[in-house]
Amino acid sequence: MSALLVHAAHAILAQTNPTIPTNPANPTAPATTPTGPEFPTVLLTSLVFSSMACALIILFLPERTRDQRGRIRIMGLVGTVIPLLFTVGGLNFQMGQEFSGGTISFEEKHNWIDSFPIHATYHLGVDGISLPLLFLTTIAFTVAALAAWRNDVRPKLFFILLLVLETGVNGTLCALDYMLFSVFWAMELVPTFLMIAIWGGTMRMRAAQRYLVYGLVSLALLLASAFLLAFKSGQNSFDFDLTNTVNLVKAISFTGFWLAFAAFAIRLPVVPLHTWMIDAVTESSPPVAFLVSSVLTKLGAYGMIRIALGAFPTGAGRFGFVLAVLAIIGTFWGFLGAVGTSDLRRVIAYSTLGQMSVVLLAVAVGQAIALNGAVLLMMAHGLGTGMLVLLSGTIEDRARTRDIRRLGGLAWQAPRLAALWIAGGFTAIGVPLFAGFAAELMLFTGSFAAHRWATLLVMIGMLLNTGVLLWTLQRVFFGPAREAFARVRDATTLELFYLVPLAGVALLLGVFPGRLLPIINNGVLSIVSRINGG
Amino acid sequence: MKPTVFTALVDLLPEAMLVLGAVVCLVLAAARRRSGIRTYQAVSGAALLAAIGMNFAYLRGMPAGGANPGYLAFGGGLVVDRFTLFMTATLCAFSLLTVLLGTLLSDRIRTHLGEYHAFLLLATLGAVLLVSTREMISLWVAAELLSVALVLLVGTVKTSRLGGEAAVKQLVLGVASSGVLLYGLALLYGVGGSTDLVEVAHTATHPNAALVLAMALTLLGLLGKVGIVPYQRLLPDVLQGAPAPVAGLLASLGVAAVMGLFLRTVVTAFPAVRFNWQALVAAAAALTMLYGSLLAVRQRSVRRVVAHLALAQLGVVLLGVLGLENQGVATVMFSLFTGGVAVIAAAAAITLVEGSGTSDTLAGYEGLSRRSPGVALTLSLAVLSLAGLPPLIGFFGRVFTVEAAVMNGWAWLLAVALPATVVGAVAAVRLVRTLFVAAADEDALPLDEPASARTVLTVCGVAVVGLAAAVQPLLALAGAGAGAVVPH
Repeated sequence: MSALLVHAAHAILAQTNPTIPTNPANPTAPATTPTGPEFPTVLLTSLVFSSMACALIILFLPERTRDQRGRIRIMGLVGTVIPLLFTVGGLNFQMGQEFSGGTISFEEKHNWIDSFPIHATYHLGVDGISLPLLFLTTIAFTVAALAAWRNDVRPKLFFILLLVLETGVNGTLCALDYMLFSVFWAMELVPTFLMIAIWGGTMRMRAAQRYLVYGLVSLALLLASAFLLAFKSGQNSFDFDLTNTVNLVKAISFTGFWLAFAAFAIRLPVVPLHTWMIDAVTESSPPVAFLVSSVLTKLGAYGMIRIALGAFPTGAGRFGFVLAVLAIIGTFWGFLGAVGTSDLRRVIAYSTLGQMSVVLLAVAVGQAIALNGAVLLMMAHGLGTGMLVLLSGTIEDRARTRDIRRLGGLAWQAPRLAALWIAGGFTAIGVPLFAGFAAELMLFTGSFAAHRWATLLVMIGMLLNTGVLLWTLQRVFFGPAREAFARVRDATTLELFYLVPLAGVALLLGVFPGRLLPIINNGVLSIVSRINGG
Repeated sequence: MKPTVFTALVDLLPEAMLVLGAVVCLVLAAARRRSGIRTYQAVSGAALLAAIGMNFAYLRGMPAGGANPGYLAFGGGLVVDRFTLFMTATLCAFSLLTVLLGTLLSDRIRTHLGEYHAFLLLATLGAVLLVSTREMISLWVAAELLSVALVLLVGTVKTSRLGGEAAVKQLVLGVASSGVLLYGLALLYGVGGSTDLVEVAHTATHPNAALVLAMALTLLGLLGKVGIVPYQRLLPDVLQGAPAPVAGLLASLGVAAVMGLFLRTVVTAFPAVRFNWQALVAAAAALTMLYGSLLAVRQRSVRRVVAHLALAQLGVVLLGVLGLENQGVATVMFSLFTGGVAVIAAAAAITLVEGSGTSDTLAGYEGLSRRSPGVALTLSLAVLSLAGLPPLIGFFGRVFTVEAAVMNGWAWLLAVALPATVVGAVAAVRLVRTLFVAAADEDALPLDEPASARTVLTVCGVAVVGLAAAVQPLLALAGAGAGAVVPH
């Protein structure tokens, strides 16, 4: 295990050293493309739009009888599984490749809007940052479809919204053009709003409205930064290839950085813009809360790396310390929030806040190993905390409460749930052998050199967060068995069917991070070389 | 080619089709009182389709090239260029969709089917003439034809007690703004010495007080016709009172025609006082965007929500006017098209809902997605597109107009447009929430959806979503037309 990690770290260090083959005139120009057979270039288009196509089919299916509803569910599941298969295929292909830094794979580039002075392209592509996240999101959507299997309230609408949301999320991760990115970014707004507002708990309407307003503001900020970049980069294009390779004037870079940062800080979320996330995770139905916590927050982090760092490196380099301070505040805020509530779902929401603040620390540092760790941590968090969100939904369903003070001793009646909770919790807090460990190790190692005090403080915050999660585990599952829960059912086959694979992937990632790290590193390097060079 | 009477008449053929259609409708009404609405729809539809078809035939025959002046007839009274052709096709398409929606009104207009369709065609004629002229007198006549026909449409088909009030308001404000416009044109003639706007632009090259006054009055008169700030109260009131298909026509065809003329007038006639009119338009645009979006959030009537969003959208269209160069004009044409499609889709949905006796309050629309999922979906897409939310077509119109304005140095308007869009989107999603989230009345029946209305809903719904993929060809078409308007 540790040997594997050391090996991986060595591999990365070898690649981080300034032997990156770069074009002197244009430091981030893609270096040599990987050899081997060209993958069909419609891979990403099919990946992104297959869910939309299934949503369109569902639109025309009736939902009156049980059989008809069953057909809708199956179609919904198909719509989430196809992108997953495409992603696994792409990832598998990538693992056999040798990389030399900054390669975009499966690239598709077509003119889209060119009768306007500022051109937009239909430009899709994945690199080492987006591909692993794509893996996470496609798994998450499949799991969400399964977790919503038993939901019998308007399944047709649910699956249509789910699939439209998946198109938006996958599209955001694949888009390499500002216009396209914004279009996909905005596609998540209305579906998520409706999903929170229709299937949520008692305070769902407030949660949904908060989500919407924050989301719209985020979109407006994103568009503002996109306009700024398109107008001021002098490239007359929204294409990342052109806009993200220009050295901007300082003032423009700083303004753009803050606009983009604020846009993605809402999604990440960064304190004090986090309230929407806490509400959304607490009030929506478990599958939706799972998507908000595991997928939507990752998009914030992704945007921060891809755009705030990738397009405005000068600003990112200059204001790293502010971000580090925000990361410290975030981890402690997450800790305090989790301690101060007895609502199980809220505890997990606050722990999400704490963990995503650690990702923010990596963004603040902007250094290769830390960013590698951040990408891995996002995957670990998406899988681990995602499991906790789903499990909290299960517990609420069985015990009819999610007040931690009234729970306890559930491990006696539901040992399988307890085991899954432990697996999820361990992934999230970074126990060795689980994905979170390798991630946090790399992240903190990478960030220590640049921001020593911040790293130490964030580590302390993380330890406190870990403590809260363990304490929660103890309060919910251990202690004497309670009479009230004597008839609580353990995990059903369906639940095992979607929770065990999540735990399995988390474990695989923890044991073999070295399989994925070269791919991640390849993506991170293009961003890092831009920060160092720009 | 030297224009002769014959070529001039050939150029007038699309318009002649509309006149012919109107006459046939009136004759039919007088001769055969029993004709059903289908007959009238067939006649009007044929006239409109013929006009659109001829347009495309002209377009094919017209040599490409941005600066192509097209054909002139009647001393500038009729201009056939790519701008005219794009706008005419758009206007006739709006009108055609409205004709299809007439089925839903057939009970109420049974006694004057002929008049309804004749007025509809005459309104279209006025709109088409309005966008194909650059001469003051024919401009005036066309504007009046359009206004009068629309007032008659609003007034004849009374669906609610607000209908009469709406017609009177529209008439009064229309006459007032016409008066202002007439003052402006008269002054302009005095300054420029010609009724041809291009001639005026050649003569009046020096900014002076008279020219600025003429410009301001002309602009205010035109703004009044569509209800942009400072006439912001007009559009919501009229759209609330008018029968829904007519309201849709007013907010799509009426607005597109006047804005088309607006482009022709300000861009063609006032290069000398460019900075003055730009300041005026910028102020009107900013205020209209803010007013429309902010008030849309507070409305309780669905029609008024749509009306305020349409008003905010008009403010955005004005941003494109500030873009000035080819791109600016093209974006205005593009957004007029996208905005019109969304408004007609919303009007179709509202017509259907109100046809079932449901009230026009947000409460009345609760749970519509259970009663009629298709109608709810189209209405949602329409308002979201009108509010400019990606990935719908309205978003692109908004982005292009804002880009055009910013490129021309109006960057501060971005600081108005973005917050206004956020607020407008909140209003739109509020309506969507009503349609989808709230539980439906248990005994509320599904809406009765005639095939014609369903066609309109489908066409508009598909356009609102699908054209996002075909932004480029549409924008290129508009861009080719824009070259004809911008002076070289």
